Amino acid sequence: MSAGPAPRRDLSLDPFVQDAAERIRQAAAAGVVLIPRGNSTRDAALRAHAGEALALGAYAGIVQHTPTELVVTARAGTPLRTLVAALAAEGQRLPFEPPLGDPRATLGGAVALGTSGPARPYRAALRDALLGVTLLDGTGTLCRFGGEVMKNVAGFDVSRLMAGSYGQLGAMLEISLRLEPCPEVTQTQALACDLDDALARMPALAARPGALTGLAWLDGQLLARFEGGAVEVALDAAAAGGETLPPPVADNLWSTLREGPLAPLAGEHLWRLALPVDAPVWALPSARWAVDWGGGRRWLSTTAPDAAVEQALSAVGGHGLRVAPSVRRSPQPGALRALEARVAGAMDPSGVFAHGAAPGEAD
Amino acid sequence: MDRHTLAQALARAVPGLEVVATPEALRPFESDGLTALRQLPLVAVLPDRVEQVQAVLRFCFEAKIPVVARGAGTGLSGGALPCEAGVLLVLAKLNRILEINPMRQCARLQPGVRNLAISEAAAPHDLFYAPDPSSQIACSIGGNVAENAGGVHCLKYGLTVHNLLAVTIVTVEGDLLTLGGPTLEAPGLDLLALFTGSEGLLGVVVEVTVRLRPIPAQQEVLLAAFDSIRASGDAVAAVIAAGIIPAGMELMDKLAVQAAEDFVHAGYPRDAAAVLLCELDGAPAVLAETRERVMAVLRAAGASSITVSDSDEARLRLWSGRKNAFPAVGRLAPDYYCMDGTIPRRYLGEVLDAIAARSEAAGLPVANVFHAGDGNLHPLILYDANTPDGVARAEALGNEILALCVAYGGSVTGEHGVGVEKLDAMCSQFAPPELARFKALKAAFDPEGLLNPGKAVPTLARCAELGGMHVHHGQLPHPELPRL
Ligand SMILES: Cc1cc2nc3c(=O)[nH]c(=O)nc-3n(C[C@H](O)[C@H](O)[C@H](O)COP(=O)(O)OP(=O)(O)OC[C@H]3O[C@@H](n4cnc5c(N)ncnc54)[C@H](O)[C@@H]3O)c2cc1C
Ligand SMILES: Cc1cc2nc3c(=O)[nH]c(=O)nc-3n(C[C@H](O)[C@H](O)[C@H](O)COP(=O)(O)OP(=O)(O)OC[C@H]3O[C@@H](n4cnc5c(N)ncnc54)[C@H](O)[C@@H]3O)c2cc1C
Repeated sequence: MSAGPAPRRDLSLDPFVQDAAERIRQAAAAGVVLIPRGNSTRDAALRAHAGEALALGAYAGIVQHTPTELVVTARAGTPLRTLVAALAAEGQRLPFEPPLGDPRATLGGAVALGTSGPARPYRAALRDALLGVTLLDGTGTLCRFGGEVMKNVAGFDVSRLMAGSYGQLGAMLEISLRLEPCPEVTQTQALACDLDDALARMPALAARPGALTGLAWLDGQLLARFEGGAVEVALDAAAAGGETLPPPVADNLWSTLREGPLAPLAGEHLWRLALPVDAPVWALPSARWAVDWGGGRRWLSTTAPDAAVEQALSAVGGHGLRVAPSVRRSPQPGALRALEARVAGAMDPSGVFAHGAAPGEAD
Repeated sequence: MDRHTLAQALARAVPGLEVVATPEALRPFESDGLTALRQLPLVAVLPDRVEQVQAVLRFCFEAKIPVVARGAGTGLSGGALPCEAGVLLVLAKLNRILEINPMRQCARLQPGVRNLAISEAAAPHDLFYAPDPSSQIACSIGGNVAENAGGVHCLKYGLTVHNLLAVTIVTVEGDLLTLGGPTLEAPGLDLLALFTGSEGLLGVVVEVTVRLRPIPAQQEVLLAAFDSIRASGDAVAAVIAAGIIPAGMELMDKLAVQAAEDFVHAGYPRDAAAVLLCELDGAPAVLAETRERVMAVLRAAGASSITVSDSDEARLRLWSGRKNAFPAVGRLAPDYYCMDGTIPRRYLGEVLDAIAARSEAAGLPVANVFHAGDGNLHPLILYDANTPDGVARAEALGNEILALCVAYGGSVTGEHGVGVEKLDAMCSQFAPPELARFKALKAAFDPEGLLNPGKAVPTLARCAELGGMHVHHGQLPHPELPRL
């Protein structure tokens, strides 16, 4: 005898969803642009886009967490910190270590921004862990892509497309994520060295299979984090050398790297760069650096003009996001931009979500 | 255009292009791994340079001729089935490994490179390419991208989509476009994720950059025998629930175990109702620790015996039964039909029981051999295509099994793709709004529908005809039937 499968939830019966759908349909008909919003904690960083807010922050709560399955489904408005705490209570966590931001910052906002933290090269990117998304598309129609299973190649992978989509493809309502068990042991080794030395040492550390889940350089220290079973962590940490940091000190450093390790001084621009790990360190005026992802992500605060940074980026095939004083990303090739616009149009035929918050985001 | 005219026009338009245009020479291309479906293309072309791929697509775009891409033709859903009035674009000759970069832990590949060849080329650098479909000696990386292929080690190391950095495609217009790049993060929409698993509908892959990983120090496999299929399925869920992610966890039921034993003598217990293969990797001391934990979970879940490989030779022998399970089962009946549904792992035991009951009711044996750790079932339905209603009965049982997967919150395909085979099943998993978005996404890449037309996404009309198939609000298609 069995319980049989749990019945599928029907979100179309939910009054909140019905209202949001109606709002989208009306806006589409009236030619009004809508910006899906969680709790708007990132508002200050965005220019005032021409568009009305579609507030989704109130659509909150964990819908289903089956610890034995290592999967959670939560409403998009669930505060990320609430979710993380609920998972931790069951000894589980998000594999992509996202920035947690303001206490009110939502899961939907995190998925829409698509940012992954220090563990990204070793465990998972946000999009890797994304299993399913239920959303209202640009016609105000409820669509469910993916689900709660690990493998699913039926239809195009729209769920993963939502990661980093900046609210341009639809209003996310429910999000399903793959989880991982919290490790038994976490240990961070530190070695005082300069940036060039750190970058030279990183490949050897990354070449060793095992418990490595973080490889960074911050404030003159090379940091290597190991997580897993006690035996494996002890072995790998010993092989890495350096000194073992006290756990509270180490936790603090990794959360700094996760949330953004540099604050720009007057006259500086702050960049988050994605580079090949073997990219050299650029000589730029008054540059301050922090390095994550074994050299693959670098934070740069500099008085150098944007053009100098962009030129250095294109020389190594990297990408940059200027985070401050205002958000600006390096431009995409034209053919890709055109295709992206057509893809957005496929999800949102009338352009009700075409608020332009992502591509240029210029001042 | 007739075959001869098209062949000549293509040869003229694309200098140096190998064009195949006689029915005899086209015969090897008439089907992929789903051999029940056969169709000769008008012509097949085998470019050996990327510029030729572009030129072929430009030509076909101008002339409005459909194009079906083909890698190694091992697909199991008819994805590479040719189009009667179209060109079959075979990427097999573009098979060069362009770069192995140990510092960046990545490899740049042409689309026709065989999956196994990547790990072989990376091995001198102590690196490997993790996704390892059972077809890895033959299947191509281009086909892997198009199907988002999985394998035994995907439980720990992820599917194809998790191991890609960049894919360069030729668009339907013949233009080159790179999705992703050499870095772990790229600006803009994640078109690389959207493209992965798109079954040749959105563009033709001409270059792939994959991530490589350090080879683990040591590997070993545990073989656990169970007295019931239900207990074995529950054991898989119990290992995951204990917070252990093995490198792989594969299940075989009695029918599959016996067939494999007869075929390769892997040393499996013939009397077991099910056998669970669990691979662990790591340094020796780490293995010892994990082994103890896994064995405790398996015993608690009712394992009647556990064998641990004590050498690489023993490990490979234990795997040989699993690796040869499909051909082994193939010897049990004139034909078999391989399903590919996925379900949440906690329902494994329950759904396996339900499949057994349906198999008995249909009078068709079903062997199960599958990626249990990922909840990815491969029920192999044994039948005889030469009996009058053989194919129809097998298909009916197959669709029943897939509807069951959907009802349990799963998917009709975990790794083999929809192709032409699962078009009807798609109607049970998706409602018209999602299908409408899929159609629109297809049109964003290929407005005139020339790339692999008629595959992967069913028309709304087709689903409307099937009508009752859609699982509504979690109700099974036949609520009147007693549940197990
Ligand atoms: C200046 C600044 C920069 C930041 N940069 C980042 C960053 O790069 N990465 C990061 O992870 N965190 C960043 N954060 C932290 C950020 O606050 C959180 O990531 C948070 O998740 C945003 O949640 P929110 O609900 O406040 O989102 P909001 O500020 O309401 O929205 C943020 C973005 O997500 C979209 N969005 C929100 N909810 C939905 C939904 N349900 N459906 C569709 N789209 C939706 C919006 O359209 C918008 O593009 C930043 C914070 C600040 C103050
Ligand atoms: C015995 C056996 C075992 C198998 N085991 C597994 C397994 O464990 N896991 C798994 O995932 N699969 C498995 N498969 C299925 C199959 O091997 C995979 O789907 C594989 O990825 C197909 O690769 P291929 O090169 O043979 O592609 P093909 O069969 O030639 O094509 C498959 C699809 O990809 C498209 N395609 C191919 N090349 C390109 C390209 N360059 N650009 C765009 N589209 C392209 C085709 O149009 C078609 O839609 C198995 C098959 C067999 C026969």
